[in-house]
Amino acid sequence: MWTQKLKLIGQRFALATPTLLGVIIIAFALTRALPGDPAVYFAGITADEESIQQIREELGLDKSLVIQFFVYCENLLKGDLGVSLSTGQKVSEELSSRFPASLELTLTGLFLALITSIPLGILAAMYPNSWVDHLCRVLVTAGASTPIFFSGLFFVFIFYYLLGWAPSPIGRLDFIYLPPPHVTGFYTIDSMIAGDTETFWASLKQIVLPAITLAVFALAPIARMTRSAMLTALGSEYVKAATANGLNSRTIIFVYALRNASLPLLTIMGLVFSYLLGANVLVEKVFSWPGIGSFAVDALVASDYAAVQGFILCMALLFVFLNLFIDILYTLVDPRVGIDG
Amino acid sequence: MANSTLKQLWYILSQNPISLFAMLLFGLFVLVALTGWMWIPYDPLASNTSIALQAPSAEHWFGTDHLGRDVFSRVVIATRLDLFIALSAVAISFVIGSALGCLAGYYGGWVDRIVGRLADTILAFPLFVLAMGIVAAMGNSLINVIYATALINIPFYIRVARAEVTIQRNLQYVQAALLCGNTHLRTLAFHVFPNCLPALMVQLSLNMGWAILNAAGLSFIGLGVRPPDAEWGIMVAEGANYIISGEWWLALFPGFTLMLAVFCFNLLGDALRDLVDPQKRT
Repeated sequence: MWTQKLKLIGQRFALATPTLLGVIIIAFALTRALPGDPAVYFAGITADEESIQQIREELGLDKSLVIQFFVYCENLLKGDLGVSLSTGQKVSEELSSRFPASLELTLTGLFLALITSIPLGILAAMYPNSWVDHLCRVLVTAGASTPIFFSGLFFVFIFYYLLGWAPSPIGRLDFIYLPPPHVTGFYTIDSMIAGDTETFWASLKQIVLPAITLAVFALAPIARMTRSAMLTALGSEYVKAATANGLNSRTIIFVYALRNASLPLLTIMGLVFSYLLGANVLVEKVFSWPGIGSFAVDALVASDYAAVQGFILCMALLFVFLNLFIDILYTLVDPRVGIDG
Repeated sequence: MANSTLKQLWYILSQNPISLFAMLLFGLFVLVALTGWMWIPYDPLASNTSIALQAPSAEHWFGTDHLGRDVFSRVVIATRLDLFIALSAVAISFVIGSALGCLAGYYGGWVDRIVGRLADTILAFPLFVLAMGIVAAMGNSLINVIYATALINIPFYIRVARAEVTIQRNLQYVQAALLCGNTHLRTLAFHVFPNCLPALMVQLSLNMGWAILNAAGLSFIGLGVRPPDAEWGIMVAEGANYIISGEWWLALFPGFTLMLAVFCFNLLGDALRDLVDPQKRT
């Protein structure tokens, strides 16, 4: 059975390859779809005909599309995403220096969403039409209808302006603190490693509000799916059989129902990640969070195309790997996979 | 048939007052979009800095913004633009997506594989990020925001249409239609497709809310609609700078209206799904 599963995991990797290729082709097409001549853009406003021609040769734009594509792939393998016009730094360096900030925020948001939505969904399914169920429904509907940039601003208004509980939305750390020495890139973890409790609390305070904003957004689909998957599982024959055999309700809910309900839940996580990575951009903008999302937004406004394209490719690659990870997890969790396959 | 559907619709609405509420709200939005320009109290573009940043009052219901423009008039006039963006984007993805999905489901084989691969490739991107990239690459304009929003929604229509057609094509009425001398394409277009419409309509109305959210998100980060045009997303973006100094009405009113619109479409979608497929109710 384990060799079967390993083989299936290998197949998942193989299936991800054409997707990866598709992503790279689209990303390449986006770099070449710039309105007008990309060389003119990259040369800047003051460039004359000669320097534009020089840039065109530098970028390889005078060659055929197929050759350009291979050059693009080669650069990609070397991790070369071009140079950002607005900062003058390499795009790959800009992105990797900002990436921990985004990751810290997204993971915290996802964590908060998971620890609230899954119990909520389970309780709502166990007690249909109770107040928990109604609360679940209200949260799901509100979460799915609220523009995330609006809920973020709303939280800032209430918790910063009216109540004064949260610090001002100016990024990862107040100016009076120094960032902790770099270990993981996560300020909360790094400051703990450095033993600096003051910085830890300061960075924790900064991340709470944007993370809650993300969590409220991600909570809706997860809670909805948990509820409906648990309802299906609890209504199934094997749960009835388990109940009839006199197993205690805790075993039935957590071992029998939840393990089966976790499969549709894993399936929807791909879509949740898709939303979350997009929502991250908006939340970073609202809270001036110095992650890759706000970098991309600033680059967009400044028509800094290399930076925007680098960002999009990065996000797409990340998403492909996340999906692959979910697929593999699915293979491991589902006991049916590998038996008949 | 039509009569019984209406009856069922009325039954669902009377059983579920929230759906009725959503229906009325939708009517209100359409009415505001169509007639708003006739009765707004102020010119939405006329700035008057002497009355800038005034809190809501009897004269300016939603207050005035940093240029002294009346927020209420701007929120009302933006309804038309927001609904227009969402409707045209959803219409484009409905037409392209359902056509591709129908062909893939009916013919199968390599058509199915190509269409499926196309949908997978689009879905391999985080959708909002892909929309950002498309608008950045094709140029920052309103029409490109519509195209981008349409493109990222196409896979969902492909999937629904494909799934429906795969079920429908094995039913006997399809054979009957073919035996009567209809070509495959004609059978697909006039016999199979109409039977897939209910499922597609549900997808469409669930999609409207998400299309509005997406377009507003894009304009929030400065894509598409340009100032001084009034649009909910850009109004929230303009008001964002004033939230921390306490001028909440700039961002809150357009943001709340946007939320209400999305909420309304989501409820309508749910109601429509209950009508078409009561089993999927969650």
